[in-house]
Amino acid sequence: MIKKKVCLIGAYAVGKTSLVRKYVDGIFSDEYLTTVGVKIDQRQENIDGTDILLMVWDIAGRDEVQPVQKSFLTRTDAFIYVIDGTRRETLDAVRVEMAEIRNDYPDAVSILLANKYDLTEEWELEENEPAFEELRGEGLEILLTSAKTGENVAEAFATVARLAVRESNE
Amino acid sequence: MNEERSESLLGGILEGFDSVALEAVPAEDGGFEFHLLGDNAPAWFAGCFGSESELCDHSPFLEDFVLGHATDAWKNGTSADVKSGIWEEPGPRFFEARALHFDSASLLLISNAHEAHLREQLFNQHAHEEALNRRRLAKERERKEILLDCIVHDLASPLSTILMNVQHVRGRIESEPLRKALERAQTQAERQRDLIYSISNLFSTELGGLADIHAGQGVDAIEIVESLIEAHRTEADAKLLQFRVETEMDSVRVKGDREHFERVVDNLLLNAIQHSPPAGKVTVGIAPVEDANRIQIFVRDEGPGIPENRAEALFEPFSPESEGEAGLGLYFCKMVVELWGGSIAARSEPFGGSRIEIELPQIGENGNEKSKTDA
Repeated sequence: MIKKKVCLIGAYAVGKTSLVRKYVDGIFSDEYLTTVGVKIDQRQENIDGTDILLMVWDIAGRDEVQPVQKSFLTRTDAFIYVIDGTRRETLDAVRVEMAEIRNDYPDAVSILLANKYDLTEEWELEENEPAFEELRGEGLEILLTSAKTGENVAEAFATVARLAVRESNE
Repeated sequence: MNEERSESLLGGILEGFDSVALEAVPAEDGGFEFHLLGDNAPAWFAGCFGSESELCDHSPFLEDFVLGHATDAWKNGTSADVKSGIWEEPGPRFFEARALHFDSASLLLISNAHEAHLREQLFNQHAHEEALNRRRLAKERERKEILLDCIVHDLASPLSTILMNVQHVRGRIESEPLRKALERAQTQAERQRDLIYSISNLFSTELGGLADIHAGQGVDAIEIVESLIEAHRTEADAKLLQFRVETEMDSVRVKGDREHFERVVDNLLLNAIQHSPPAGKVTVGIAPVEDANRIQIFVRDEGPGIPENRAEALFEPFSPESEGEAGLGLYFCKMVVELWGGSIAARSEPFGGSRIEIELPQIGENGNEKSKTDA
């Protein structure tokens, strides 16, 4: 079976762990528990008849004093960038991260998830967010997700699996 | 030193550091075979990683580390030392690994990182929650400022028109009784306008002022409580009230700045004086919260108490139960205390009276918040 290493990148409290929990175990909790270091989970996907084992690396989110530990990122096949749609600054932060990672891992595929889409009243991003248009123009796929309701969560991981397989076939 | 003695010392060192050491030997398939060093491996080693030959099969993280950074370190040679960072294995158990190259040997050290994880988790959790809380309050403030502007505009605009027209008509009326009636109407409208502006000013001061609160080195809670009790002595005497301070501490620093902390305590005391029956007792208590490195300050009165379903409403703006200017006193207390990472709650006492208590982080001698490890 093909194994693919997928790393989740994003600021603290954007919902990376919740997305993984929803995807792997189908559960969601409102309680916020910050991640330290990294935790690896796995789930199998089938893309066009090919079985793929996604090794999902849930990496501690960066904050003002703590950058992402770069040693966790080696040999990554796919990056899932996660932002919190109710905190605009998490989009700015992830774009900085994205630029560095694209430079270090030019062959890795990536997608962007704007999470917490269930909190529509607190949503701070515009419907036609200019930054999204720009990123889409660069070929980045963007999905609006909710770890709470499960909206687009399975689709996000399936998308990243599909992109990673396509990349390795090219 | 003989080999047996060296082996025994190594085993002792590894046990002391709750670690295992393995030598990585190049295998025929291009990978590595691992051999345990020392006499005994801790129980967690077999539980989490199986045996030395199954390490990478049991742990995807170790597999990644060994094939990536560790291999680089071992190939580079000369006293290389690469750390993995903390990772989680099922259980959950937390570990850290190091790849070393020493005396021509490639070594892998795996350590139990439970304590390090706990320390980091506590610190980060607190820092992140505080940052999120600050952000939430700032957003709430922004929303309220907009709402306040709208309310003031909607209330004050018609009054301005009324006043303008009343003034205009008054000057043209000759009938004394009618002029008097218009004068009364004008006075009432002016009072209403002044009231709207004074509430608006107070409210925006509360909202705007909070942006600049700096907790600094904290404040001496006992000193401030005692000085404010003295300041309220005259009002208390007028109702024959007695003040009582319950604490076993001489002084204690809590998070906050003097100006806002004094206003918080002042509001709590005013609230208690207002609700106390004549000749009643107002008790202020200051004590550490067990296992939390927080300090609780409570103010208890012997008044009618608080209905259970009103305890939370007490801290809402314009609450009829709240003392202070325009019913904003306890609302102000809640906003400030939460901004400092504390909490506030109110309840009725079992034998009558009410109790409002705040909890604030304790500040250590170094001027920083105390953590559990300081205890």
